Amino acid sequence: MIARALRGLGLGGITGNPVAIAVVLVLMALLLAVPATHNDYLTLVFRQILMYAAMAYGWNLIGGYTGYVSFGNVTFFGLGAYCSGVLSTHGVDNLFADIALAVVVNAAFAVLMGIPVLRLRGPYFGIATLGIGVAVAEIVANFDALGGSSGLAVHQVDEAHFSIYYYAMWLVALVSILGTFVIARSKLGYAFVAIRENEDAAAALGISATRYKITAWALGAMMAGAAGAIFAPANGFIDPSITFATDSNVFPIVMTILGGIGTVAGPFIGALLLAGVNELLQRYFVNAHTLFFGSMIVLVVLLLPRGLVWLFGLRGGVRGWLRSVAAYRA
Amino acid sequence: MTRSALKIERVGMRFGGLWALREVSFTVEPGTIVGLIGPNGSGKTTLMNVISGVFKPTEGSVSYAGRQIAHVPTYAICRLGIARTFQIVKPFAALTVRENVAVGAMFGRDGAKRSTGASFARAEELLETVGLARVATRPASELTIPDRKRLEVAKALALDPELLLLDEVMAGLNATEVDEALDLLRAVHARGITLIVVEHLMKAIVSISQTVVVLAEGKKIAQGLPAEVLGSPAVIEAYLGARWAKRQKQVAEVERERESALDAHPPETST
Repeated sequence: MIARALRGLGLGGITGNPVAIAVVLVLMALLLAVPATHNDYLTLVFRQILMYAAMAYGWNLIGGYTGYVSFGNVTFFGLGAYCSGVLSTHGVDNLFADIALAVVVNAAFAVLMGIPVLRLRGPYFGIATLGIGVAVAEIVANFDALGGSSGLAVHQVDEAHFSIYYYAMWLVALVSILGTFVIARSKLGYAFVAIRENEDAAAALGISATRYKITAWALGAMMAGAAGAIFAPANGFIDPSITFATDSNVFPIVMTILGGIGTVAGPFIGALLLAGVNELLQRYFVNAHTLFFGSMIVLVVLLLPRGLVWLFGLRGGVRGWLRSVAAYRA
Repeated sequence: MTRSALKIERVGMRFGGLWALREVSFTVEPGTIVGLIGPNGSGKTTLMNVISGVFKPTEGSVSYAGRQIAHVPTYAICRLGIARTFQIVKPFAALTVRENVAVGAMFGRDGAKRSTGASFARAEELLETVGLARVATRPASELTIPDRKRLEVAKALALDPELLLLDEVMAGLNATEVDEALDLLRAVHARGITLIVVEHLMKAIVSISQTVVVLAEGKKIAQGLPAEVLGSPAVIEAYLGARWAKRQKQVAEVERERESALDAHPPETST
């Protein structure tokens, strides 16, 4: 009922279900209390969830809203982490400086790479982004000033202040969520969706596709980069295999699809569920957890083709849901 | 409103070994309605794509308001005041009907000056104009074909164009719907918008156009007043084939001979 009322205010559509967004904001408020439990394990798990959420929001702008499926967004996370690493080796241990540098470097790198790469459409774009990711990881691994493949130690705050990394990650996730909400409702959001729905029709309506695609990619790069900049000191050590990990590349994509592609609530819901379930399974089924994990993804794709956020807008109980699944497939 | 002419000069468009357009020239005067007709595959849509910047012509030039636009990208052409609809309608399926039109209002000629709120207000007005206000909040994917055609027109109008290219907006409509569409086009024209109308329906073209340009196999074969052009032998040949045209000519000759024979030897009449 609230959903219908809010839809009248124009809050549905491009941002996705408003109830889902409200749920996300409530959950975010609750997550603020996690460090107060003084449970280091729990704090670590939720910091990882927030990190993946920020990366998922970054991917959602280009992959979800603009419809350009990038397989190279881990590059931005890695570059962000290395920004902190480089600052740390030069004696700068300020988290704000880390994040600021990461955001600027990532935006510049995304624009530079985006100019050639975003001229490509469909699978060609995906392959090119995958190539960039692999190339950057290789360059870093062979760059002695960056520690090469043996990595860099990154200065950490003392244990008493360790929760600063949690709060910083929480803030980056929150800014990503609210940023996505504001972007989606602005002209930018409509340009992104128009490009996703039909790039030729978008151009015929005065939208410079290249410019807006680069904007979407760069904004997403900033989110992933900020997460990386916090990850480096929080982890205390970075090397190419950690910062450009395949998991960090694939997880945000799967999380966004699971939660709801091109919605404001989707990436967070997906991150919470996927990282949470993964953690639990890993704990109780050390070897078999990937099997459960894979099955869960298959089930969600089959039964919730538009992601979990979709459930919030469904009417008519189980029958309504089955009918919607059938209608979606048809 | 500034008034500008569209000049198409010796435009040629080649795809591989095929010339889809060859040496096409004509001028569209501001405030007029030009009908563009021709059999299937004659290059009408190609010409639309050249004017709107989707294709860069292989040769020749297109100018608008004295400015060369043949190599200007599509999104920039639209900001110069040239809008188009697509023959194969391209709605943004995930957006509502109102959002579809608002996107045009946001990024068109006057879009930079408009807030998102003002764009939605403009969209409401235009949906009223084209008769889609009743479905404004429905997803565009749910529209019927005639309504999708209306949506195309509304999206193009949202760009605040001076010149509107309409690519078969009446195809697939029934007689009543065609009449409604013609009324809509006349209303649009009455706002001072120049129209280029591509259409298969002769009746529609004749009733609305001031000038008709006929394309066949990529070449312009006729131009002029609708009634004159449609009666010209070249146009009949292009549409109905050479044999038909020849037979028509023979029939006409026989008629003429009979008439001249009658003139020479009028039948006796009793008065």
